[in-house]
Amino acid sequence: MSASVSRPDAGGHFGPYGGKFVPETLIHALEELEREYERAKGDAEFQRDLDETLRDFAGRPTPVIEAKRFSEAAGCRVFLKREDLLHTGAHKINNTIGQCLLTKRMGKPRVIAETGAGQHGVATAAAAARFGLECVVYMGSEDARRQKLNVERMRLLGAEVREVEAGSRTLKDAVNEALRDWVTRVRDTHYILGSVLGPHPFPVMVRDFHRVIGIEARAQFDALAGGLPDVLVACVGGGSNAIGLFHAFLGDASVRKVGVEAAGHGIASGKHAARVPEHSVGVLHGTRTLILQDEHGMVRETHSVSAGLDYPALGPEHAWLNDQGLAEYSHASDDEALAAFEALSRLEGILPALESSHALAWTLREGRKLGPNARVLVNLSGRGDKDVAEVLRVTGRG
Amino acid sequence: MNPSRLEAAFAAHRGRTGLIPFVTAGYPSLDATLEMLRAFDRAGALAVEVGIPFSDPIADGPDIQRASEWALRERVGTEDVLHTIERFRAGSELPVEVMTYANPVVRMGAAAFAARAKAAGVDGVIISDLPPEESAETWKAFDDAGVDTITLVAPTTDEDRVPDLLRRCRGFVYCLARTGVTGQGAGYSGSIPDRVALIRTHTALPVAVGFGIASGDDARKLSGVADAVIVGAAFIRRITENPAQGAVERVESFARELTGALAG
Ligand SMILES: Cc1ncc(COP(=O)(O)O)c(C=O)c1O
Repeated sequence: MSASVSRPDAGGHFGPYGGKFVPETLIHALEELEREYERAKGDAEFQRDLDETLRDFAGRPTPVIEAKRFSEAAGCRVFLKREDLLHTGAHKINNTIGQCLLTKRMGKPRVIAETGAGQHGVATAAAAARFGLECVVYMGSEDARRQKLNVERMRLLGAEVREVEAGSRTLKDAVNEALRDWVTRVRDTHYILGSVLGPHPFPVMVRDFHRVIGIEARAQFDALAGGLPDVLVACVGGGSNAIGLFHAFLGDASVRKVGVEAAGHGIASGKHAARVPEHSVGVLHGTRTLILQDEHGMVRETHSVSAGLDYPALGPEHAWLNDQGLAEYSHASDDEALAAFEALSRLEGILPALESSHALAWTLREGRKLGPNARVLVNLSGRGDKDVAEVLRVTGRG
Repeated sequence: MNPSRLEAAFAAHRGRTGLIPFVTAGYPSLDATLEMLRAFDRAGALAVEVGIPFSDPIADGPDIQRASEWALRERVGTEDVLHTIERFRAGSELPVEVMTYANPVVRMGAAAFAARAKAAGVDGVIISDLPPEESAETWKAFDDAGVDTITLVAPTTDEDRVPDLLRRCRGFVYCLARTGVTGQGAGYSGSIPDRVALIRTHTALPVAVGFGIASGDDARKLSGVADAVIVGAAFIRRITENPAQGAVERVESFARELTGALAG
């Protein structure tokens, strides 16, 4: 039922978005990946390996809890899907386990990844170690500075971290460099893309590996509170944690789905990473979608206090859901996210990732309008331990 | 129909492997680019390829990346590049292809881009990240405008895909000498003569080989194999030695070295 609401065509197009905009050298690898993924989906052994690894290595299922003290502050009932409890600290590991298993099936010995906050890099490094794969992670040097702890974690997990000095030295530049590596070593390397971005089949495949979030949450919410939530809220960088939560509810028109982009210093300042307000269509990193660009089609630099949201392209399926009115997109600023970070920490004893703090910030801002009976399920996509130094720095305490 | 400039140039070079040099427009300045195009004409190139600077050149290695970044810092836009080609075209019949990424074309609109390119005297276009299965309207726009769409065949391209690539191909076929990005020796190559022969079983179009060709020796090895060799990053490195001084002269002398090697 719900899966059919948003299904791409055979070329991976969601309406005008998506597709496969890559150099010819990569076409073969994408086709191989697509074939292998289709085969794996129907293979009981693959599914068993995936389920077992998600359970015993990553710690699934993650619980849903009601956040009662935070609810008082927000003015509505707030429930949290605890992806922050997963091994390595964020939802990202759902995808890296799936893709490492696929890499083994394809017989490739080496994986590469890009990372912004470092969470996807850490999750890739951990899964690669578990499955005995060589691992190289590309990270913008600005992000490496903001997320020092994660750089060291990746190294301890046996990955080589290559800092990228080009452009704005953030996630976009790390993706460029990972694509250049892949186009060179495509025959022995799989690129583990970290969000619902890039050329087909990545947006679909990464989404499918995260669908478990919404599938679990739907049953857990029903058991805990009865029925369906009124609103789902998730932060949107590329959009993997958001699509993972939304997907199991796409057939439920009564459930509002809100994706929260990073407004940085505010939309008017130009220093942000919110793609939906400008609704400008472009091609970046293999997909056609909404991107931040100038009048010449040059991709703009973005800003967010959270490295994981600091990226100029929106996942193509989100662009499509937005146009179809099947999900809505809002944004939260750096300051709002920092306030939400502190609020959840003090009120619930949970340090949220700065990325997830954007979803919490939307809830704090909009909760009173929703009213005390509204039931809001927030995807707590990751934990905030990695962000402590950065929060102290930007709030002048570090 | 009259033969296109590219067809005529390949016909005139029949039996000899020609040179197609590449430079990034605006590196180190648009005036220098114009002078370099004229120098390539003097040095006997078959055609020239002009790179439109892009913010995220995923198919390019460090040399062309840095050249692109330089040009973008100087605020070189697509229209400036086309205007420079127009100035060159006023005094030369040397075929010009532009190399770009999909986004600047999407941004301007494919029909507008193609029409403007044609008016500026552009003969062909290579869009690094646009495979033939994407964006039918873009391919059609170039056909309608009469700008040749040059497609790439990679070492990793399956043989059963080659006909699909060639169906979209006009002017000449670009056979990639190796996997990887521009200007780097790394990557998988395989047998280039075998790949060129394979392409020729599917098409009568000329075949040019490029990626990683950096010296007269590299070029000479392809003499008699390909109809042309494409050399890019090695020219950019000649500029980078000292962008402020003597760049045009070094570029011209390297072009003569390559045409000499190909003739020898
Ligand atoms: C905890 C956390 N949440 C969210 C994101 C953003 O990614 P996505 O939008 O794909 O969920 C990141 C990215 O690094 C992250 O680490």
